[in-house]
Amino acid sequence: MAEPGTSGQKAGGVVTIAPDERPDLETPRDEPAAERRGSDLFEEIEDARGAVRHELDAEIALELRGLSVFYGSFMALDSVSFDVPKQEVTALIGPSGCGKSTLLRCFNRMNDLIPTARMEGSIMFEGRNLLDAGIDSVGIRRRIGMVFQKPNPFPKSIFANVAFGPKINGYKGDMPALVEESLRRAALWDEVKDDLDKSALALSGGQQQRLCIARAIAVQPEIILMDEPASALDPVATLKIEDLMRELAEDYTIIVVTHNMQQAARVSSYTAFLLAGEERTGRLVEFGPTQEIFTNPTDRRTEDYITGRYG
Amino acid sequence: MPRTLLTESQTHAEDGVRLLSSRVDKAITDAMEALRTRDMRLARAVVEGDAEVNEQRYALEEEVLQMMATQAPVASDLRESVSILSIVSDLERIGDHAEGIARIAQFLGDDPVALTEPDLWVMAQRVQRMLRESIESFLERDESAARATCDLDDEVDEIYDRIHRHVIQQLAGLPHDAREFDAYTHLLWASHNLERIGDRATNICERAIFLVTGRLEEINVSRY
Repeated sequence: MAEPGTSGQKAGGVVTIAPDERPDLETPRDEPAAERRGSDLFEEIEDARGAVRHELDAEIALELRGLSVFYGSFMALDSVSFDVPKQEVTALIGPSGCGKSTLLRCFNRMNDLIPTARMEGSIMFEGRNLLDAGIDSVGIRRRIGMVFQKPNPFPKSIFANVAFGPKINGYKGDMPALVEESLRRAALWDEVKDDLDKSALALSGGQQQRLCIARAIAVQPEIILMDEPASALDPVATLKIEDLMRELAEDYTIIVVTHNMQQAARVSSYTAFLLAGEERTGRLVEFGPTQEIFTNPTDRRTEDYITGRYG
Repeated sequence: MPRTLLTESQTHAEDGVRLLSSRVDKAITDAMEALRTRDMRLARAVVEGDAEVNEQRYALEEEVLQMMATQAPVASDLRESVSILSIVSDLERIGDHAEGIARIAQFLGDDPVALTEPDLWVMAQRVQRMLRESIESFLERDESAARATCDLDDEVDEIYDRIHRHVIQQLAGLPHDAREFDAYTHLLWASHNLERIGDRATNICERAIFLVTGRLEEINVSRY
């Protein structure tokens, strides 16, 4: 467990991943893991920040406790605590600048790429704190994949796009079978099976985004992060992506950032609502089952935001 | 494939409507049977079962509410959601009328007088048919079937008229202290409950028509 002041260190160096082997999150240099903090601290955080949080009756994929993010001296996120349920879609919603993308980027150490970024608190993933300095961020990104707002296929064939991740990870199995399976899971196979050699850039925007999802799936992650995955797509392609997210949640934990509240309502089982105060620091206002958030939110600010009365 | 979740929720809610309607349909059958045979256990079962009907209605209502909040249905999807909210309320009230008949069976106990009115059982059959057909026309989105079902309400009203006149005639011929007074009054109440069930079934038909056409219209103004 990183203590405040020590967690700003960068992650350890890149570790070579053995073929067909799940990367170990723990590097030899790592300190022995501290005991996970108990619920007493959680209550403290909850009281201090006033966030409303429902108890989860589900398996937990990620456990956030007192997660704060700083860019230099600016505090972007202040003590966020909640549990991300396993194999469900969790949506992060809130107005621009509330810190939801910053939060998403913590989950696979994408903030490491920003030199001034510093994180405090903990994100427990399979008993290890993702923020620990000894955590291998590249290994993490294989197990916690990401799909971005704009489809970003490589300027290569459809096949090569999907095969890329497994290949650099040293995958020795049946690559065509893995590519097919990944494309099927991304609900794209039937549309591209005869064109696997064609350039991925020739696909429509919606197809490109599903290709990116196939590419993320191909390395067999446990969690898929999605940052506004449908905001660059037309309504029909958007609904396809949303249906796909629900399907994928049967096997993967999905965390999606969206500006589209209706999308969060349609697609997610759990919703976290974040809001920034006047000092622009984002805080968790409410976390709970989506059906409750959208029918009877506990916090007035959540109600104002989802009913369009914010700001 | 599109909108899988919405479609699943709708199918689930439609199944819920079907279940609730069979449940109140059975409650009418049992209540009438209790009235005919004075089976007090059956009568009590109908009365007690109404609490579950009410629970089922609220559960369905909540389910539809959550679907509307999260899936934002529009056009025919929206009309269906709103219609189901109205239909579950009609079904719950039909359950209350069945309970009312079961309570009358309890009041009458072993007094044989109400058994002399065959029209009452014909009336029950008619309104049960209306109930089944109204739900079917809604679930099948069949406008003409819904309109045809509404027409059945005229016959129900006629039977109710007949029973009404018959009861008045009987009451007029009774001495003031006759013990049949209560029984005849109960008979009138029972037929009134059935008449109301016919009206509720008509409401359901109106929702079926609204679902298909998008127009809210009052189809058949009951005379009662």
